[in-house]
Amino acid sequence: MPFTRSKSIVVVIALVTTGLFSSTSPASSASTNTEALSSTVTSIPGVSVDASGTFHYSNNLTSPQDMSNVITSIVQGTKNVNGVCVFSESNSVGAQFGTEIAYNPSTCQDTMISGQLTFKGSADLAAITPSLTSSPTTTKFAFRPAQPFASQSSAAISTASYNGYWAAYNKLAYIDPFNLTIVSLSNNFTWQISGTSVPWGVTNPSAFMEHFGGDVTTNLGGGTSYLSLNGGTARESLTWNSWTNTSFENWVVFFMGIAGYAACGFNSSPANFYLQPNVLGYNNATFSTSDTHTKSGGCTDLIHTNYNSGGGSLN
Amino acid sequence: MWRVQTFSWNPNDSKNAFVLTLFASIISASFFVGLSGSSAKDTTMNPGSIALIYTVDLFSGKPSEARDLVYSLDRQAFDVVAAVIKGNRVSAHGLSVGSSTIKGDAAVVVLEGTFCVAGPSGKVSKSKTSQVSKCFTNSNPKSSNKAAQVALIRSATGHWYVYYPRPK
Repeated sequence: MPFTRSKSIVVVIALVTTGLFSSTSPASSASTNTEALSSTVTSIPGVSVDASGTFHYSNNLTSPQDMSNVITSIVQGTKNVNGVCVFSESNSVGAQFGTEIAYNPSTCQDTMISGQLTFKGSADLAAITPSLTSSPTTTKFAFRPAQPFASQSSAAISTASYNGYWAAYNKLAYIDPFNLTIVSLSNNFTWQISGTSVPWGVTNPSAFMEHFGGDVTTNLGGGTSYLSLNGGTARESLTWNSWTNTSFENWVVFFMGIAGYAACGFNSSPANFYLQPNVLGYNNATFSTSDTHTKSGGCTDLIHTNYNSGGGSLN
Repeated sequence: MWRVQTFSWNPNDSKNAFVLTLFASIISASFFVGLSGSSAKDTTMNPGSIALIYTVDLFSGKPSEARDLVYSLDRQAFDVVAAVIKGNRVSAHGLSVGSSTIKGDAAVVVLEGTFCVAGPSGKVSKSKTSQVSKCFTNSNPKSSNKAAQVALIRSATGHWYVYYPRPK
């Protein structure tokens, strides 16, 4: 199994040089076995584990400078036949950004923080988001950005004024401990409002997978389906994609040797990701979002998820 | 040379069945230290023996004992990875020290043998499913495969500890 250079490794080196990678002089420790060792300590940044086996992720945009109206919620997942936790999050009508801050693989529980990104938060998120060259707005229809469902009351509906095309996005991602996006999928949904009905809609999905030093992430494919709801007055787009990845576990094995193999499997148990962001468009130019996501294999306990939704489109 | 014949660990097995059978054959008198997992904790042993005991503990459901052999400042990283390992069903057999390269106070030990990871086992209703174990075997005593290597460092008092070298 040859070692494959990955983006993670390069960034780790960058983190080392910038001091973000934990480094402590052995002399500062009172532990008995640190005497006169020339090594410096290494750790797995952004991840810790408590006595209950819950993983905590600290490389998140959760500071008050990044998020407002913060809500913490526990999401109960269910284990599928392979023992993989499957998380389906119900419709989000107000929160536009959410990030996983803890995960217990035994109980299948996610702890999520959600709220609205501040201006700084949006900039910080953009800074850690890979730039994509393709545009999701290739639809030939000029759309207007829709509003979150809760922001507009039904009393405000004046059907004719909504005629036309509206758009909203819901983007899901899996992020490694170094805040690198391994995979992401954005559901860019445009729907048509005609009177009180929503007769049509289309999604331009924007999928991203890590590329660096070789194709260490493999796209297993995906698709999109549509549902007409509420007697034709709303339309939902469900888009999904699956990937398999070895780059992160390569790094853990490189870093920790045989312990890394025991944890990750190193190609014999590659990381598998499934993302399904959904967008539901209504006839009053509002939208809500939901999602389903799973991760399994290859040290994925160390990897967290986030989502970001809003009016318009997003790569 | 010490040879670990078979051991495995399945954290989801209600019988708590992990079988550890050690068959030791002595090639070098320096290895004669009474290997029995990390219970000996004689870290003045040569790095090959430490690496082998550490790996036996790691692959047989005794992470706390493996932890005792880890350089103290690297134990935080070990704790995180050990928590991941807890969810896997790992096993190994036929382990032995292939080579041990010492440069000053650092050493790299290459282990030979077969290492297996099965991933989590699922429980759906009352039935239980298991994933197929996937393994790799190293028989190259000079292998450069990091998955077969253990890095160690020696303290001023001559004790060897497993550590995780900082990426350069």
